[in-house]
Amino acid sequence: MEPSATPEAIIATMEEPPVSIQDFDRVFQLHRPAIFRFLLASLRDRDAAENLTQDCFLRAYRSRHRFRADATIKTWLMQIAVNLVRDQRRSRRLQFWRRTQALGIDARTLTDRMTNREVSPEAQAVLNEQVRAIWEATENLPEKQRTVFLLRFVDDMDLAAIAEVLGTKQGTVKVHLFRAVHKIRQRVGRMS
Amino acid sequence: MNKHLSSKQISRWIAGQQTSKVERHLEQCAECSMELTRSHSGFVAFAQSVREWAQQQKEELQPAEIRAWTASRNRWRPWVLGLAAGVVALAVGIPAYRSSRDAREKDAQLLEQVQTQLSRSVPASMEPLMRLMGEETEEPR
Repeated sequence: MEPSATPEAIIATMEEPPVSIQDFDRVFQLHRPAIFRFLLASLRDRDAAENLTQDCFLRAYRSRHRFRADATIKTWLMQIAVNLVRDQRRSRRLQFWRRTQALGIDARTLTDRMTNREVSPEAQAVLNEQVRAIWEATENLPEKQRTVFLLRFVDDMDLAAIAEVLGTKQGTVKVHLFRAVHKIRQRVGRMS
Repeated sequence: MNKHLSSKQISRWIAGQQTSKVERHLEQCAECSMELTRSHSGFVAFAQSVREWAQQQKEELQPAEIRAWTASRNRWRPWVLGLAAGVVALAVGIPAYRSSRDAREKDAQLLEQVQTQLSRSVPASMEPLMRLMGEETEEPR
């Protein structure tokens, strides 16, 4: 039941080898997938996610001498990514049509990935519907709740790391996560 | 058995805030256990779908993205390479130029010597004899 106890999460944690910030090409190779995934899930726009992934690593590269080893490289990169998403969303706030369009496309695209699983067509249909509903509900969450939810469920980060990324207390992250999950469940319940 | 779990209790559980009290209830209540499993599987499927979707998007983008990243990081490199090429050209070119200038000077000296030899009426080794003969043939006044 506990999401952090999934085998993938444990393997992902074990697989991350120690990398020096000076070996920046390796840092890029190692952390690009997680940063891109978070940006894509947050923005729902592949081009924007790609551009911000580049921006994130460029900013990190330029300020790599300021990196302190008391945070992990992933946490530090994620801090930059979260700030980039916030800036991007602010600049997009009035572009309602664009966001709505992206939402419609991405919800279908997301469930298309699940069509080959070994479940009955009925169960598949229910699961697809749930995923679409969660996807749409996530978009309507307040920014902090959405960020916490995506970092926890999509990027498998633990509460302490999320607190570090957001510069807040672990208890606050816990509250945001509970509210996000509860709102999503309520919305999914209404939809189904 | 107590009453069923509230929606908030299930949300807390999914959010990772498990308690032994809720756990005991889930062990005994099939209905709550099923509701929690159904709800939680939606979140798991969502997370898995986003990861797979992102992976697919990343694979499509990967070559272009890496090129763009390399290009953005290496924007200064053509200047450095140009500068390095200039330094190498100077390092190789200056000695070569000097060597060719020395050779030209030697050629010029040799040519001058040849010109001097050719401008003589007799070979250099015969010049003392010619001077002696000249003195003897002069008429005494």
